[in-house]
Amino acid sequence: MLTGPYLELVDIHKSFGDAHVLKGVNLSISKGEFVTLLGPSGCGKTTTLNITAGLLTADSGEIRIGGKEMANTPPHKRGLGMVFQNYALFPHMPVFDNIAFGLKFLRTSKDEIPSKVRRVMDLVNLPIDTYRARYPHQLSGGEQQRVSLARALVIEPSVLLLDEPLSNLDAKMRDSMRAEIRRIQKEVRITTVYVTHDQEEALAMSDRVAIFQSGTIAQIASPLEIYKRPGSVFVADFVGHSNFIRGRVQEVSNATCTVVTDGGLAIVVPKTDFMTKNKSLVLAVRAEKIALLDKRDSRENIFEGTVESSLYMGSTSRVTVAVGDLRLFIHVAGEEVRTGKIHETGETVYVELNPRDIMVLQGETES
Amino acid sequence: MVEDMKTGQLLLRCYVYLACIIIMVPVIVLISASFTKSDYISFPPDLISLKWWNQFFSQELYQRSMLLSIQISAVTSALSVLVALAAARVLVRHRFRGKTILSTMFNMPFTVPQVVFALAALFFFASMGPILPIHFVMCFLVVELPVVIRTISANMSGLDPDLERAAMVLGASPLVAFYKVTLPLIKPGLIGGFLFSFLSSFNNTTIALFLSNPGYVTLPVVIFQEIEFYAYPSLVAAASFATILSLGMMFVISRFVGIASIYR
Amino acid sequence: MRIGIPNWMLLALPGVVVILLFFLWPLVLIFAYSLYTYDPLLIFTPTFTWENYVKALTDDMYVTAILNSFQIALATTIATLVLAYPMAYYLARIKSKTEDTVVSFIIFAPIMVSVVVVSFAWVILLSPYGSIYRILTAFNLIHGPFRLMFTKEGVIIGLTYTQLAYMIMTLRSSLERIDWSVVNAARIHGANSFQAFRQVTLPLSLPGIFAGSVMTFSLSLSSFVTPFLLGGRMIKVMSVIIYDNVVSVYNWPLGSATAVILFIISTILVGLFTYFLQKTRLEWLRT
Repeated sequence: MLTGPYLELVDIHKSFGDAHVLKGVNLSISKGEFVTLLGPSGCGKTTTLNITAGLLTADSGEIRIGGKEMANTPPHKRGLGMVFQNYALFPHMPVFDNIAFGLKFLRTSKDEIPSKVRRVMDLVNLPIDTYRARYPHQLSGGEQQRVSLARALVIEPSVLLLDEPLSNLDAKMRDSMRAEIRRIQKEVRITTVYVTHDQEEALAMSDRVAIFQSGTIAQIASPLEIYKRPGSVFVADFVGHSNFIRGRVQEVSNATCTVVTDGGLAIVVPKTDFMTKNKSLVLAVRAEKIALLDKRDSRENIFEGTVESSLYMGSTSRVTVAVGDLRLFIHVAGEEVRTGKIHETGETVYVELNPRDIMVLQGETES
Repeated sequence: MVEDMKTGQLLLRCYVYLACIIIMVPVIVLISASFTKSDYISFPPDLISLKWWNQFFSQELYQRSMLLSIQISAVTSALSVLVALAAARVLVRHRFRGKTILSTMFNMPFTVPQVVFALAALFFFASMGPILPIHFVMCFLVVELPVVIRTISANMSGLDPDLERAAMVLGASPLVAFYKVTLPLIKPGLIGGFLFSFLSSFNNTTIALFLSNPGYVTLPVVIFQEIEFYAYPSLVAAASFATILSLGMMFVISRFVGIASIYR
Repeated sequence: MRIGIPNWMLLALPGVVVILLFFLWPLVLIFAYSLYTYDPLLIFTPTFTWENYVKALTDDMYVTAILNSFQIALATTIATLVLAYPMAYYLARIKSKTEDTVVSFIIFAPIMVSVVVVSFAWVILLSPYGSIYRILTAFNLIHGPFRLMFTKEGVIIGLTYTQLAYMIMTLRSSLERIDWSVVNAARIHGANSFQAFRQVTLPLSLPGIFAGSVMTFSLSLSSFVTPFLLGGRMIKVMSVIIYDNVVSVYNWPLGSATAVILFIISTILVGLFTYFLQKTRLEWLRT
């Protein structure tokens, strides 16, 4: 399964005028893998995709697909398929012609075209007889997206590229399409590069996620890895909502460490390699990993605090608790499980930080 | 790194630059021919002299017609901006049943050939007596109204309607709100519309030709008639003057509203 | 219940008055005059007759004029379209704003300068001993007389020059409305640049091509100054005939009839192509 890399980007740089957008992007994707490029707008993920497609040329670096160097190959010869954010269907052609478009350039024989189109339309769940003669403007967003996918897949490309394909759909449609795309990708076993700014989407669909940070990849790992073991403050902050606590190592023992905050709170964390006495660290705890108790317990890391604000949102509540000099954002269930009550401002509560859920980071601290 | 469009793009660029040069040729020829020393029109000019420009500025016919052109254009432009402003205001800010009909109506002068309208105007005004400059004004007004309305509307629709509403909530009457809020913000559109109308009136040939009579001739008409009969280089100076004036105004207009916005 | 026009509607009134009074009414007059009888002394008498239309549609000179007008308009439209399209395409994709302003300025210059001045410049260029002649002989490219003045070709050249800007702007706005990711989609899925242009960009710019062609055709058909100056009295087009009739001969009814015919042809053209533009096959472009 993991043979040599199938799609490789090596040290890609790209500038637009004065803006140095890509500052050395390295990406190595195996055949059949689904990798998502995730990041805020302007970070370079779409530029990377466009360079892979050949729509833009990198200033320096290499692009290799299946071992072959692609830099001098124009887009129409790279054998890729691409799905665009706004579908980019040919408005002046019916669905059948839209999908069959790429087949003409592969010199597929006229007899084979209808069967190939039929097969790919079955794959994306668009009955050919109903849809073949319709025009793009007669289709819903979801249908258009599926035609777009079919068009890209019918030419049996070596790599499938998707540029934020679901951002123009409503929430329900997005959910179902995510599953669809993943199902199709697995069935066809095609190497896929997916670009999005939606973290949920990235985590839900990918084999690996590459987090972009101002022009380079900050971390590329499986969704679980990214979520539980973010490599930096940036990554931890980007995916999900985390609380960041600055502190200094006070004590190091066999399996654990004690980290002390400026305000004097002592937090027990699992030991990691770079922990030495007095070292400055940043701890990160996800908002949904902090428990709220109404009385103390004997476990570690239970601190007393006061509720500063509480926003009831139905299925969840967003509670801010002041603990010493810290202010912690907590996502809890809407009402207390046992008592059924909602937390009130001014209330005294106890927060529990389970050491297992504390991520220890080095690097630049942030807001 | 190869862009396979490179040769295509290069060719296109060459074509465009070449075309631009060719477009400029007649204008350059005209203006440089006006500096000739000889007594007939020639390009390239054999020897350089300003004598035809002197002639142009001193000849009574040219001076009189130029003055008339300027007067008519000024009045027309002022009127057209006022009328267009009112019309644009209605079209941009309100929705009502007859709106399409109204805007079609304002667009109608576009759909009628100038020759046809020139003829109609001639008949209409001649039947009421001798043709006067004010008749020129009315005709030019009609012909320019669609474009000026369009220019001002474009400018106005870019303006947030909530600005005026905010002013009114704060106590200003609709008129004051319009005067103090909207008007200053659409000034570029108004100035652009005025200048464009001025330019169009000044340069209008077809209608002016049909309406012209020995008492009142505008500069383009003089040039037209002179081409037919005399073709002295002072005519070239006259034409060059009109050209330079037009290009100058065009430049100013482009500073206010940008040329293309008029036609979008 | 308050009956009356809301205040703001009154604002539209001046515009409406101007149009109704100074535009529509004179047009009605032309229709009326075209049906009157020509009288050499009184210019016309209000006696109803069809003879003007009969003459305008059957007389040799008139029929020639109509055919000339059509020929010239058609040739001008095609020439303008072909010359304008690459420029419009370039401007639609242009990145530098300064370049855009400069090129647009140059392109618009011919129409912002008076049409009589422009035509005059072309007279200078195309005259039998004019500038082009002198340059061609200087390079020994031509021997003998140079005949472009007073020919249809000369008129077409002059008209194309004056119409170029309108066509470019119309094509440009159509091209700018094209979603370029559609073109990119074509290129990724196998089309080289030329194929992508032919199969995607060109069809998608069709509305602009139609609109621009109709406009150029109409304007060329009814243009006056350029055909008059460059064609002289030898090339008869409809507008020149109208002018002759009205200004030289004072045959107002005949001139009116010709004008009405010109107007009707113009309106039919615009109507026809607007209809084609709305037709289903182009529906997909009216997003």
